Amino acid sequence: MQFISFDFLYFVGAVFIVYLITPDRFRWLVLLGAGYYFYGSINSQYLLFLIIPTIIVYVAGIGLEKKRKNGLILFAGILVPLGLLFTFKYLDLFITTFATVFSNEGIKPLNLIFPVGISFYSFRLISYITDVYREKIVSERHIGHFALYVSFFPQLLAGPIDRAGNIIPQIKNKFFFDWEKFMGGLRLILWGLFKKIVIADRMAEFVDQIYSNPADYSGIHLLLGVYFFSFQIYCDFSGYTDIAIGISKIFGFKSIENFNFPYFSRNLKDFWNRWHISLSTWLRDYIFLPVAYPVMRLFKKDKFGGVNITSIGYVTAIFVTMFLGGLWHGASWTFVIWGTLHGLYLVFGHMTAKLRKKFRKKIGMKKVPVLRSFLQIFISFNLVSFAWIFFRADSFEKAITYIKNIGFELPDTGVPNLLYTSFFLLIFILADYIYKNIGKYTWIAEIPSEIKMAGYALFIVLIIIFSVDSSNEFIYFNF
Amino acid sequence: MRRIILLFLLLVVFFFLFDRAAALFFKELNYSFYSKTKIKRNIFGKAKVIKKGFYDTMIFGTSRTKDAIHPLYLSDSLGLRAYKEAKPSRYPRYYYHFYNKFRSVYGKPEYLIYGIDYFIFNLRTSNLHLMLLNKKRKIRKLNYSKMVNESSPLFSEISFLFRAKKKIDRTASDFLYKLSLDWESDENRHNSMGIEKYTGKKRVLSTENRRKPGSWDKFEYKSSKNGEGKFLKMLFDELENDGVKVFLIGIPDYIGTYESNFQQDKFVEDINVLIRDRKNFWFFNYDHPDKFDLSNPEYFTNGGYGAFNSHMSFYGAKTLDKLLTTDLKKILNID
Repeated sequence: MQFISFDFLYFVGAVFIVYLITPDRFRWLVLLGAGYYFYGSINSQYLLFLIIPTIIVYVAGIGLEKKRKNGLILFAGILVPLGLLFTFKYLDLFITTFATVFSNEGIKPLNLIFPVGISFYSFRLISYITDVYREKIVSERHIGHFALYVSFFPQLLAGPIDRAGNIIPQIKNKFFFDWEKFMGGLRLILWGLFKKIVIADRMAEFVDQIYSNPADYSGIHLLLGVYFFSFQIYCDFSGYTDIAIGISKIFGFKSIENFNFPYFSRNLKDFWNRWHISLSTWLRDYIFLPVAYPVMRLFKKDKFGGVNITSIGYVTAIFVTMFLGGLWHGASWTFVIWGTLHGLYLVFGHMTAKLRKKFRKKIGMKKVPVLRSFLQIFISFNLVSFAWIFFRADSFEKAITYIKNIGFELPDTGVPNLLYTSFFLLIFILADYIYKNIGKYTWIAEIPSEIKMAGYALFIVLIIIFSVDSSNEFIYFNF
Repeated sequence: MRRIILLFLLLVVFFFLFDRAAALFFKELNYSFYSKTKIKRNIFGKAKVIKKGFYDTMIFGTSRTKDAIHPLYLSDSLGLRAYKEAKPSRYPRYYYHFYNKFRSVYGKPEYLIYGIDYFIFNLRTSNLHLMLLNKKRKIRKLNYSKMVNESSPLFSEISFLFRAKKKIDRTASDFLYKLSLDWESDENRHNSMGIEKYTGKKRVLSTENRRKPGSWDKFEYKSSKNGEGKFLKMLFDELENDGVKVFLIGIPDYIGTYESNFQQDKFVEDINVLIRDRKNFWFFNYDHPDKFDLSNPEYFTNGGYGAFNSHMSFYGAKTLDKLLTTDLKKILNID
């Protein structure tokens, strides 16, 4: 069963009806069953790799409750999901890299079937057991509730990576049908669908063609391709997230926000506070901080070689975090380059913060805040878009070919198609801007519900007309 | 609760209203576009520039021929002045009408090179391509009651627009194509005038497509009794009457694709039967491992095991055109 399919829509509808008529104390069972059925419908063998680590981490959690701060139990609880993740996702990368470095053609990759969503539920499990160890939360005694936290079907395949502290208490709460919440959920689902099947998939048609053979396209095609991919991946992933959060909302769950208009960021630090928030906060809590503090503790003085030790800790932790963050996205060195490039951006931003502030003051930027904001957003967006080239390209060589051929010469052919795709992009940017500032348009909230129904109906009709028929799977399902 | 039900019903009613209104609008738009649009900027709009009889050779075929056979090589080796009409998704019906129109405007050619393949009788000419010839065509208005969208027959029952989704996309894509023709300058089109200098794409088959899996999709051959076989025979009749020398060229496929199209013998036999009793018809089938190095991935840009077709690269086309011109020299008695 695909996430974007009528089968999934009917499935959600059926689960919701059963959920509504089931007594409160058994509702977790409906959602757990739905999660396992949904996951099993993709590939029944995957279920094992979901259920076994769930049981092991559950037992480890109980163990930590009994033997507090026991590092061995924590280690075991982390090792199982991390080991599975490594085996399925990274082992082949290491094998092929090893074979290349040592020119040993006899070593072949294992080509294991990658269980979809493993990167996301593994991180849920790791955060749970670490939080229990740190005594931020108490371990969950109800195995059904714990299993539901790991396998909650709207969020199973690509997050958001919600923390146990947020979801488990909601599983225990009573559910009341709330029309406003229900409509809020539906609105999010519709908006997510629009982002995915109208914008992202349309961008994908263009992007897939030019990234497969960059040398065949004009400079302006490639330049626009960079921006189109920036919006493809944003609309694809945030579209999925909106649908996942929307479905969660219908079932009475409030999930963590995953995106906060990231392309309106003014610098790269700001970008990472707005992009894939559940992953970036996960990386902050479980990698960045555990690396930064011990590094700083290594030094006994405030400065080392004239450099503040806070900066040393920051730089070290940023590089480790962004390297691993890149690798998390996929077993390819292009993702590592992407992550490391973001690491460089962040370090550069950190190191030059004071200098840039002085420069802005010197040229009188403070007097023109609109221009200042525009330039900051423009530069940040372009830096992010440039890094996406490595993320999207099949190989480092292709990324370099792509960058080399970017230019401004007009294409010989396909101009109307280019304009058509750009038109959709402009519509989206405008819609996203309005959505970002929706609080300013108070009259929208005052529209009578009857008229709003007409608006929703029209929106559905527009989605049908302008959607791309051959919808692609979500990009983040590959990670 | 009553209010919730009322709001839900309102949503359904509004959806039906908008869906039907948009479907009605699209029905008229679609009819008007396909029945009334004329395309001026095609080869026939250049009659004042291209002298009658300038081209002695024509090249027909789909995108596979477009990538495989290049007028420049024919010109350099044989001195032929070839006009290449081989383009994506062009099938026998299109070429039947194209040939007749071309002949009336520019005169009949001496030679026709027609790149054919295993799928020549599988597909049909689209309305758009008939529009390119400004061919009078009977366009029927869309009949929503006969349409079903297979991705959800249930939702298809509810929404007319959803039923016609593929038609909507097709019309939008054809409209953009029409705009492209209006937009692009003559100089930018490879086949505008004179001998086309374009000699193909320099990329080669990806490593991924070279792999041979344990099992893969295979495709049965559809004979000339299917698709637009009737139009191919009609075209052959015209060509024979005009005394045009016709060379049917089996365009090479990558070995994986060749093996996926497993009924090659039937294809060859079918074509041989079609031309058996005709004068001045030859069939050079290079889509065979004995005739062409189908295993060389550098000769192809795509295809592979489970793919139904593949396209030739610059390197493949250069090799093929060398073989072709050598074979043509023998028949045309050119030293």
